[in-house]
Amino acid sequence: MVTGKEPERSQRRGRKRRLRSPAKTLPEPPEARFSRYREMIPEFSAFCRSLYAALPTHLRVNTLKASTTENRLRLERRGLSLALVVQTDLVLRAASLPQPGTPVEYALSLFHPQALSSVVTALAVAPAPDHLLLDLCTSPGSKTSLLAQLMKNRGVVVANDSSSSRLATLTANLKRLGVTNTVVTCYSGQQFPLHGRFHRVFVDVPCSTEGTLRAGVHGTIPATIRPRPGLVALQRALLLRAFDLLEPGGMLVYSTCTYDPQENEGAIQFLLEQRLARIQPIVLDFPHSPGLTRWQETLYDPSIQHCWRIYPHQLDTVRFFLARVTRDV
Amino acid sequence: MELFADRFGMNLTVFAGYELRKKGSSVWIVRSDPRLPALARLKVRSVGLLLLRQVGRYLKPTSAALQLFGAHAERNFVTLTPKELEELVEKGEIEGDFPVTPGYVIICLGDLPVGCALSLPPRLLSRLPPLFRDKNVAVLALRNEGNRELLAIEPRPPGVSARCTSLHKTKNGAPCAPLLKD
Repeated sequence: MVTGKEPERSQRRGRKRRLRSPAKTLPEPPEARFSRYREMIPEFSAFCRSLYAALPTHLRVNTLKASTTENRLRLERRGLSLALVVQTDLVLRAASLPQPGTPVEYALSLFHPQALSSVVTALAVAPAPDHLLLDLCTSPGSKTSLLAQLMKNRGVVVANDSSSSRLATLTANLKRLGVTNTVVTCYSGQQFPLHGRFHRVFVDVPCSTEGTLRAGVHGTIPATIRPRPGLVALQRALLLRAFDLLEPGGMLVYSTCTYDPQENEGAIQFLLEQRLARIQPIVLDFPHSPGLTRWQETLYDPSIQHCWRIYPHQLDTVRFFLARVTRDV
Repeated sequence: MELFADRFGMNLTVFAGYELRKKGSSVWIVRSDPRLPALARLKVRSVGLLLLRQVGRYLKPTSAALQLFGAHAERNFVTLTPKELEELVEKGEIEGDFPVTPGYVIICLGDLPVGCALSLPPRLLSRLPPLFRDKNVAVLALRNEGNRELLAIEPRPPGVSARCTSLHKTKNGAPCAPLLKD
């Protein structure tokens, strides 16, 4: 017997299946995949070449447990070839360690494998040991644990993620790395309660992750990534809520790992139109390009040039966009 | 905290600036901060680091906590050679004449506190976290001391993730707002 509800249910299931099916795309060379960004990306051919290279392994030293020098000596005694990343004393580049999660030092959490651009993003937050900091989209916790490390395990880091399953990974990482100043919560970021205000808010939003694609890592680069419905709206809602959670004079850092200006400069432009926000220069010494003030037919606020675009051919790591925004007193 | 003072001879000033939170049979240690009570209005899942877990009638210190505070222990720690640690990890226990009293002890590799073990003389039973049982970790920890060639990574069995976090899962407990309430 067919009830009135059955066709509806099956239709819903069919729609769900369609949404979950993988994108049918043919692999394309990076030149074709990213050709629409040709005018935006400086030295486009060098950029494309960099996408054929393997991603280098960077080890962020966990100074909560050992100093960089101690850790470097310990790993070098094991025969590892390490180079200190000169702009920060926290990151070692390992030439001969394809799987960083293997030496016993990993189990002892003396280091954490982390992309250099991810470290740069956390450094841009520049938290102080007495700060109350909110990481709105926290999992899996690499940047969160670095923020706690930069705060010397003092102050409070509220680590929030909307997914319970991702929080399990976060909790395991925080425990392994010896972080003691976190409070873990599970809210949808855009609905995080406005009970209190924070000195710093870090929002590393979900994005289309174009910047993580490397032929040298994945073998091929898919021609297109299926656009996630509502992604841009979600990013903007997260950014607005992050700003609203700032105390006057506080600062937020917004980051993505995608090239798409709509998800980067577009989100910042949206914030500037909605709130009394001010873009601040990022005072760090890493190669980067300025934020765009124009993309195709769209003009962005001139202050957005203070944002950073990190490309893989400039800093041999995954791509990142980051913006520092302050809330006026 | 008496456990750490009585059992391990730690000076409790090591824990100055921290506070404890109890939830169920577990005790968490969190850095003291005057803003913590205000955060109790949030639905908190966990705070700080898991310090102790009730096992039967006894409190067991977690390996994560011992890695952080274990260097301050004055007694009941066992310094193992890499070979002994390999055996402990692989077999789950080793035998020997260790200078410790029965109960939980701190395992050290050189000057590094590694984690927790249970001493039942003459046996020493591993209480190290699952991460140490990852074959790659154990093998590399012990075979490549100063030997570049042995750094070659052994192939993982199919289906085993390279991310060690997948081997080290935590339980997804219910929201634990009481953690921040006295």
